[in-house]
Amino acid sequence: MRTARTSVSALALLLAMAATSTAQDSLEQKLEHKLKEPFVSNAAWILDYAEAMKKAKAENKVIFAYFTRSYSP
Amino acid sequence: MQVEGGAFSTPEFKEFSTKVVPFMHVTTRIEGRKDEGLLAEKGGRGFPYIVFMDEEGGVLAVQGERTVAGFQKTLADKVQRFLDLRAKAKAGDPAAQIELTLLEGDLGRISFEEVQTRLKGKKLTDEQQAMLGDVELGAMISELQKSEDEAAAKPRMKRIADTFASGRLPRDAEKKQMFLQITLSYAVSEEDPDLVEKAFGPLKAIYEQQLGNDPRVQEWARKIEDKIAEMRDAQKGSGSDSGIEEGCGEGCGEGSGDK
Repeated sequence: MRTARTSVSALALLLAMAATSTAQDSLEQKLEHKLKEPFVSNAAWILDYAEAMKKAKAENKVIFAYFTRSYSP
Repeated sequence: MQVEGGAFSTPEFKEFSTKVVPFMHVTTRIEGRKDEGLLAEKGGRGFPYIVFMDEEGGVLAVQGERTVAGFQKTLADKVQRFLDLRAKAKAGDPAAQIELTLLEGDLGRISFEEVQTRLKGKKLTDEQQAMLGDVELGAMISELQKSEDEAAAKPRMKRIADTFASGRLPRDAEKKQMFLQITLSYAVSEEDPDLVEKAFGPLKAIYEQQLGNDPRVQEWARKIEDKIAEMRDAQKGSGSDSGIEEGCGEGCGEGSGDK
């Protein structure tokens, strides 16, 4: 009985992990999709924060920071 | 996002982007992703959010108008003003040091407590006093937004509601709207019809100014008026819950931003 309960719990855990993994994969795809949108190629957008600060310092420019999201339209 | 198919897709933006370092931060909700919480760190409350920052990531100005002309104007006016003030303050100009401290507080670069410490013993003009008040009220909103749960949020909402009841409101339009929304929400939860009524009038005026005769505003207003009537009835010994919201619905009364 105990073994059966343990198996059910393990199965539930595996299913939950699989669902989480699928959701994470989907979020990765959404990000990929976002970065392929036409507006992105209209400027040399930097996507890494540290790199943007480094470039601003090197070129003595200010950062124009655009915050957006990929998880939802 | 409208700005993506609009301003960001124009040749003018392509040209503008060469004068700055264009940085795009995408909130993804992917677990463990680097800098995922950067929006909140920089004072963002919704999408899209556009700011100018210095080489250390300090916010120099928050962008309002989402046009290339608007970006250029902010860069030429607000950003330049901040940089000029910082240079003067560094050179020892006492007036610039006061202005810079207030501006840094307003932008959330330093806490209100830090602003008070730096300005202790300094004589402020009436305008600077008013700005100090705005920094204090802005800090109240920021504190509330950092609340991890309802228990932490409640006393912060009360503080904002009490401050509003005492006759104080931020001068900044966005912060003023938030102050009123928070007060209304708190007043409804506390079943305080007088306070609901007091916050409702100016908030309705803001929504009407933003959206005109939008049916959502009228529907929201009707629910609030019904709720006030119910609360007044309850005070006399009967009542029920109409389940209203402090705002006039998703996308209603939120300015031009996509939340």
